[in-house]
Amino acid sequence: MRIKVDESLCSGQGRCYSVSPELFTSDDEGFCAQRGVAFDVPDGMEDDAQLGIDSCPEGAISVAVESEVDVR
Amino acid sequence: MTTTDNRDIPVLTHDIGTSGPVGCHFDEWDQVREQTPAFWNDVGDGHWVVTRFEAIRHALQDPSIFSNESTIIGQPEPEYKMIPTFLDPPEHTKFRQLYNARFAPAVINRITPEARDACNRSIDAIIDRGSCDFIHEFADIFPTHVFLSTMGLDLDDAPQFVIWVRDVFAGLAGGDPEPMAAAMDAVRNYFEVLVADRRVNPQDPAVDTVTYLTNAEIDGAPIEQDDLLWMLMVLVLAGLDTTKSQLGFMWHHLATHPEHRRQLVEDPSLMPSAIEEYLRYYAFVPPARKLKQDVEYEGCPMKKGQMVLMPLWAATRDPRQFERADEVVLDRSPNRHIAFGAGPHRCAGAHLARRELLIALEEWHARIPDYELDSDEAPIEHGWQLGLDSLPLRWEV
Repeated sequence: MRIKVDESLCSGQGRCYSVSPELFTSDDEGFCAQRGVAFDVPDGMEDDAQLGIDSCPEGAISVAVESEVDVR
Repeated sequence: MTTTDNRDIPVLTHDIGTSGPVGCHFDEWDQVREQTPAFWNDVGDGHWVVTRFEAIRHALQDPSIFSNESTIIGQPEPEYKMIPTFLDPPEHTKFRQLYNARFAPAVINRITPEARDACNRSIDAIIDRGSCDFIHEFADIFPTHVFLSTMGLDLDDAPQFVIWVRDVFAGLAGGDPEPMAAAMDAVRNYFEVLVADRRVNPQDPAVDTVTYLTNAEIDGAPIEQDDLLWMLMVLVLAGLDTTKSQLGFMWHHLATHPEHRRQLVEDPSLMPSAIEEYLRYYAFVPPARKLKQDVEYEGCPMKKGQMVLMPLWAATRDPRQFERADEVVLDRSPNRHIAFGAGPHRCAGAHLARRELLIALEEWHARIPDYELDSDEAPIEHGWQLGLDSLPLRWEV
């Protein structure tokens, strides 16, 4: 599973790193530290990823395709 | 109707400034949302209203059409400039970054012990009495103390802030405009004196927000005095009445739903998700935006310069987005509510507010696990930024 965090949509609501702290973290300003990139979800953490996707009030997190790297 | 369109545009009259028994606005808007996705609201000079989750979120995320040039329904051309509230990106982003770093989760962790002490002091003052007006004796006091310590201000100023904020929001809710204007002036003067002092006697900017802002630069230059004072004013306006409202709705719900209260007392690990659910269920903020261009939105021909109201309580109880939207589900997951707004103006204090609510739930229920309404009449819910006027509670001593 590969996911991406849209940099322009992430507003720092902080739900992703609250519900799935092993997959998402906060930067110094409270934005998702993974915003702006697509990355592979480690095996076994697909549920955490899905919870992050479903919990984002901005709809900033989504499933990415293999070739996506940069989502700025 | 000010549009030149000949179509049948829904025109309704829903004044969000009225008061009624607790829950009245939420019930009303649960119906409005199902009646129409948008309408022209024939109140005052009139404005558009959008009622459903997706469209409200999308509008809040798109400042190129839905601008923050004004966020006050009755004032599309305000003569003052609330900073950063009345700014759109990219200008907004520069000011907003200064706040973000100030209210990030790591910073909130640092002030948590102090906030916990403040909470317990507020409980100390009432616990032996066996009753209180929760709004005026807890919800007014605790967030004010947290605000002052977060800002690095003198806790002795708390009683004065409580009165200023009460007067300002009474005015905004349609009350007497004179005490409101006086309170705004007083807050401004308070910060004017502090800013002048900190320019000469700078404090540790990590603790003292006024020093931090007087040191800060935008585009390589210090922040102009008027902007600086508005930045401080916005923190007062955004940080105090909001937490008070949320606490009031939560405690009313818990006082009248002992089964929920018992669940939280027996399993405090439920509290964080319960807080998200109360935020969703009682989203009390009605943001507004000014149209920057003509747009066809939710079936309505919106024109440049008109205002659009987006009550968050309409969005967060939308059954298109939330199952059992009209029920409080303490362990709801996921819960993608937008009680803190959405887009670039998402509440900067959201992380602090969540922490305050958690501390309040934990400390209060460790000491006062059982309580009930101390009145046979339903508390009154005021309009605009929704909240309870008072909330009498009693408990066994």
